[in-house]
Amino acid sequence: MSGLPAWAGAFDPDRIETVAALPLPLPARDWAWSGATGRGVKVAVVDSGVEADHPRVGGLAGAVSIELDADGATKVVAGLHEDLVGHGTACAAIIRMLAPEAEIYSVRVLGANLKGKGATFFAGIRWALENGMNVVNMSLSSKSDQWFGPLHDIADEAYFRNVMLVCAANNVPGPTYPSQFASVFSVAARPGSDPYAIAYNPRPPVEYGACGIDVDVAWQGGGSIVATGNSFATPHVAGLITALLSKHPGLTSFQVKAVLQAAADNADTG
Amino acid sequence: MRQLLDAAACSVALVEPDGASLRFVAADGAGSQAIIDVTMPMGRGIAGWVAMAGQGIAVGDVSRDPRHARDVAEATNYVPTSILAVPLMDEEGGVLGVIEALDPQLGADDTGRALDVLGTVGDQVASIVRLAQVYDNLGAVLLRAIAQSDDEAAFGAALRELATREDDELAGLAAAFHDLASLGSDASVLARRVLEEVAAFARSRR
Repeated sequence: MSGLPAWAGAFDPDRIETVAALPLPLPARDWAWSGATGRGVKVAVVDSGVEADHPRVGGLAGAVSIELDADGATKVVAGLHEDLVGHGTACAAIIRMLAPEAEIYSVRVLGANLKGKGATFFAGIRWALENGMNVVNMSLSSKSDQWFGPLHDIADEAYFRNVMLVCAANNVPGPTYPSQFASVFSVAARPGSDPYAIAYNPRPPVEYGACGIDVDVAWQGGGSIVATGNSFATPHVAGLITALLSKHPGLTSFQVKAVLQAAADNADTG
Repeated sequence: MRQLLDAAACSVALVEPDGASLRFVAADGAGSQAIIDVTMPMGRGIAGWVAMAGQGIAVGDVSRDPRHARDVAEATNYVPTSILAVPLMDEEGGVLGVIEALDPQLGADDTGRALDVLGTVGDQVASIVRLAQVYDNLGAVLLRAIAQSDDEAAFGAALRELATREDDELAGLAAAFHDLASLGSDASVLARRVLEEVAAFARSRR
């Protein structure tokens, strides 16, 4: 159907094109993830909060909530908090599944009011950079021109500091930030149930496709639901990056991108 | 749209001016009468998350989520099993609201595509919402212009001021009426009558 987002269907198994990738030892998926646990890698889930005692989350290494003062300034409130919706819990549980020993932090930026959302989102990314996170899972993005510059700068800073910003691509028409920046890992949902299966889109800005359609995910109240969306594919890629970094510490942002491409279902590593 | 997705119900909720809640303004299907004008806090539920994150999602088996089921049942007496929800965006990238489809009948592997389709429909709905807000705004501003101008000169001055506003659509309309009003006394009366009708229409929509 015309009018759909340009990347919708880009990861359709019948349409995805083969991409030339660097020749990692084969099978590339084994080189990247076999035996990896996520140990020693810090992951921030920037979302609606995380339910730390959910059985599929298995505890958190830390939690902060970014809130607004009466004068509109952001402040960091440390300490465990509830998940206001369930979405952050879903993301944390997916990361836990792929990287069981990772240190997962909840960075709650989605609160009770839409106003100031750009500021809390930006402050959440800033917190992740200043607190030694290696991977940042972000389900939200901004379409606001006001935030283009600040988000572009902080995404570049993260890239050069080898902090992997993993962003859900947005279905809505038009540019979204930072999900379309070259410095981040932009993720869309693709069919399939193998959490390790990813695809590389030869026509970015959306680069990676991962499991995110009708997936069973953790939810608030210790429960679980079946969910679809790019924001559920994103923690699959964040979890895979976390596992990769625990097995191969010190990889740079561009090396991680190349490994993900080489481990993609549509990679030609010959 | 409800037929397109074979859904039990569809609804549109808009962000309230204070940004702290969503108010359902249109609905069709099961529970639709009960949900109009219901407000839901922004920090709770799937619609709130979609508005906050600006991301569309689909969730099934939501009746397994006890808090969600209770919140929705209180509002509508209809508890869906699955929900598709996408944000409605304004031209500056802000979120105007959320469009939802409840219990769409989808085949295996159709959820992703249904979400894309709802997103495309949502883009059209957002255009309509933006336009409606512009005209509501126009009505309110014109009402002030009419109320504050007791002769033709003041009326012309109020229109001139409107025509220089930054809002292109408002300014364009005001400029057209200013030109009409400048043609003479009869034309001025006509312009004023048309604007009064527009203002009355805008008032009736509130």
